[in-house]
Amino acid sequence: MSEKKLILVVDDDPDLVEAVSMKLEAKSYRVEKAYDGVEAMDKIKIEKPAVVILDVMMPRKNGWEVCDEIKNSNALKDIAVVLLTAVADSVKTTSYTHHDGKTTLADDYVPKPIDLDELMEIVGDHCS
Amino acid sequence: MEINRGRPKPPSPTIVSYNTRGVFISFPMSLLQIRINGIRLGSRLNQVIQTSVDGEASPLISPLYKLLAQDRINIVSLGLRTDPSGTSMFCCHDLPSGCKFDFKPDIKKKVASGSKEPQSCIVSNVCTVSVYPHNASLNTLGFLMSLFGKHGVSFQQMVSSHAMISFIINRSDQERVLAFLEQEFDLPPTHIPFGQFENENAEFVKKRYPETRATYVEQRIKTYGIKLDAGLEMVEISFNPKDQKYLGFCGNGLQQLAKSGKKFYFTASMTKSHDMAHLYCLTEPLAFQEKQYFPSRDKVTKGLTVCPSVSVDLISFHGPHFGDRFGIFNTAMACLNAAAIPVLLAGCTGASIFMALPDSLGQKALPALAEGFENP
Repeated sequence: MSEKKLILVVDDDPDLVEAVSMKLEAKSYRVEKAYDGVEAMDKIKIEKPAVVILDVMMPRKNGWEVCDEIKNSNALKDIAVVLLTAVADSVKTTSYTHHDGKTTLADDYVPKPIDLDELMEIVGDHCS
Repeated sequence: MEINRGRPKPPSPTIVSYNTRGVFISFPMSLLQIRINGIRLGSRLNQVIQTSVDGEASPLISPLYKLLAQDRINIVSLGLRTDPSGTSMFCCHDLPSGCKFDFKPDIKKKVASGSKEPQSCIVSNVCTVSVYPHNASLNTLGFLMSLFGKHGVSFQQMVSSHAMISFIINRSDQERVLAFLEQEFDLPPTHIPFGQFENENAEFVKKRYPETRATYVEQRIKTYGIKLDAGLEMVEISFNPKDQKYLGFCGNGLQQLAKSGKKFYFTASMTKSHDMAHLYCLTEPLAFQEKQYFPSRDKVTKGLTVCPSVSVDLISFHGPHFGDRFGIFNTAMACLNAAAIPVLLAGCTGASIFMALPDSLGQKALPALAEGFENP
């Protein structure tokens, strides 16, 4: 049996972290949780996840900064980053082009309010 | 807003113990501390308490949540309890910068007139302190209760969400509560308590948090799913909130229950009068032996009553930006009222709503709530 993939969920809304985590665990993923950008980077350094589900607006270090840090690190850049954002129209223009023309360093993004089933599909795609 | 407290965390206290051969050993307290991820602070809240409301039954009576919805006022935290003596509830709402700690006079009058008892509308200057995640642990809940008792601080109300336990306390106690929580819990080394903005005008907030200030107009309110936990047991303990030893007593009982592997599904505590508070805890059904962790059941013993537990169904749901929107709880109550489903206990904090219903009515509540909410 293949090893369960680790997903890191990062959002400053603890209830949202819980809701996403429960859904992921029901789909047999291992889940780590973080509630701001600094804590997210701490967790990533302890164990590298397959996917990071990352909120944008967070205290201490926002999602853009975390995403940049991951994607600019040779050791971490293969981690798939899925941004949760309500500010889709201000997604930064960098290397990846999303289907609707928005671009970001992240591998994908889901606009808020998020559709959990859509998020699960995206996570599944990045883990396959 | 981050609160840079500029105060280093005190060194971990050391527990001294002896092994079986009488050899002195010591180890840091952090090995025994409960791990949590964070503390969240909310400030500048108005708390309003309304007692003996008959809900929708009488057109003369206006439940507080309905008044707040009509005035487009967001509820930050809410607790509601209906028992044979009537309905009591508290609501906390935040205040824009520059507002006085008071309720709008016309609403205050309506709240008071909607209650059977005089002096039923109490307005006070409070704030919230929340810890997360609780992981449904009765040990964490019991420890928190004991901490308040140990440090001699009363909380006015308490309510849990899927991840947080929020305490509503006097504003003047916030620093003290934060200090003992930071000291007694095992927090991440880089943790800084996260505080909600204060003294920020609406424009600043809008600029800083554009995503959380949107107002959605939906035919049916979006949720991340409506969950039903059927056949739970609701334990109710009434105590004098001024006497701190009862907090320790409750905490100890809950920690004993945790040892038998039980978890909680929802918890709330409401102070209905100056000398009576009620703690509610919903767990899986308890064995006879487990019920003895709270002795003197059915008896009043020196200011503390453990009421006979009742079987309930628990409905809970969580939605995008629930914490920033008005009228959501009112919609949930309207859906259940329309289906003649009574709500025994309810609570909101963060972005979650929990409603305890009489046993076996949970299945009926799901289609009733679907009238107002999307359940993907």
